[in-house]
Amino acid sequence: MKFEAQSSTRRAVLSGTSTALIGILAGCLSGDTDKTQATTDPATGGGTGRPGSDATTTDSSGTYVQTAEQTGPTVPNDEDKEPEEPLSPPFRVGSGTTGYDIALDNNPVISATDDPAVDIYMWTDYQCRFCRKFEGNGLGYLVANDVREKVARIVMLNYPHKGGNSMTAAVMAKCLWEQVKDDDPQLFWEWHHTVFNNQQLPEQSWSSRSSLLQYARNINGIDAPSLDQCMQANRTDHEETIRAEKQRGMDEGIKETPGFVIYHRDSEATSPPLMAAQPYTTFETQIYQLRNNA
Amino acid sequence: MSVDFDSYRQTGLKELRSFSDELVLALRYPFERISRVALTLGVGVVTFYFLILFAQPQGLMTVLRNPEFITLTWLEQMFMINFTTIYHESVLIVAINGIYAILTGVAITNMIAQLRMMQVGSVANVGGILPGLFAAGCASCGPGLYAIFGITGAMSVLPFQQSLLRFGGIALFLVFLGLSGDPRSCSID
Repeated sequence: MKFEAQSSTRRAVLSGTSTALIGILAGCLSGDTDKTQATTDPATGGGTGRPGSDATTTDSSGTYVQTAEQTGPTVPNDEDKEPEEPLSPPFRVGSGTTGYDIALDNNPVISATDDPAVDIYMWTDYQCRFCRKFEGNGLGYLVANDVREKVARIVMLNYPHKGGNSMTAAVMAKCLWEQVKDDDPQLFWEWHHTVFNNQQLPEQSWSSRSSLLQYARNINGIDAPSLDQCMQANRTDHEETIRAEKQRGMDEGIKETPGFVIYHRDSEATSPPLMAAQPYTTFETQIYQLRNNA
Repeated sequence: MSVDFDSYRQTGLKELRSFSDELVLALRYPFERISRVALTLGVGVVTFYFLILFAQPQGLMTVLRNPEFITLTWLEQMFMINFTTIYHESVLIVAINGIYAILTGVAITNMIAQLRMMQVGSVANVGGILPGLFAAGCASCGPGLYAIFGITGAMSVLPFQQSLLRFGGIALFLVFLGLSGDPRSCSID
């Protein structure tokens, strides 16, 4: 018997190199993509526990108070309300600028009160598959547990980054919100929901301007010709606003959609940038921490 | 002229046959014993889990920067969110991830076999194995790294939603497994 060192080495190098190369390529196996870079990463507090659990109660001001040893959140669980089916969130027409310096006038706000403890700023892209996923999962839990309970409001912001049709959809959303916000804001949700329901691969016909308009035409109550007119007349202005919204997200550290920042209005504390279609447990933990560290 | 062509063809066919024989041996070795099967499938399952988890690399980065978010519930729910999203998009992509995960298991099992049979003291041998162990241990860290370096945008313009690279990755895996061959064949004359 003789050990063939040369052959052995060659095989080892081959084997090792192969796995290394494939390991790098594996990055492409399931990655969602983004075209942006950003910078900051705000720090956050470090409390744990979950609102509504056996270990917590609320004082007269509605602030969660620790009453016993608390454990990490394990939600959704029996104590969390299930998302509505179909999801039909309440909308409010905001005005002015929030403490987080976001103008509410032109942005849809999902809220059941004018004075929630927490703002959730949500950046989305109509062509982003995980934004669609979040609409059918985490958003439902947030609406059922935090918006309906008047703890939080969700400010919907645009972060188009999947191609030209993303910007077109964002502009149309702006036009539509302007059109329906005072009379019937639910029409905006119907269109918004329809666009996500029709989502396919980015930059295909489902997200073209004509298709987006067709979705509007199919919803009773939306003035599609007026929407079309707005797209022609105000596109440049809306694009400018949308770019500013996106830039704000990037400045906050949002690199991927959906992206979120949670802001506690009393303490003016913010969460770190939360990216991706996170499970509800992430939001519940962060909201609880912000409210208890205030 | 024709003699040369026939000669080249014969040599090529011989090489191809030799390669396919080696590939079969490399793929067969991990399934010859229960312990190897367990190792291969174990590595495969772990790889598959991380491949799916890395579908939203920035989501993972978010919780890595804020470890208080990481719970078993989060790990379970994040996997399901990613899995159902990918499954809804294409069953084929799930299958490709599965194939890739199993091939990673095969490569790791074969590599361990080679490691046990080699003189580990050889710098060249270890140098050849370590990159593989590292890469396979973090088989899907690519998207996260791409995101960090801000070059994921470049990938988004690749055709077929990166499926071409996915297939390419598997093809390359098979090529190198075929070149490596049976992990036992290199140690004993």
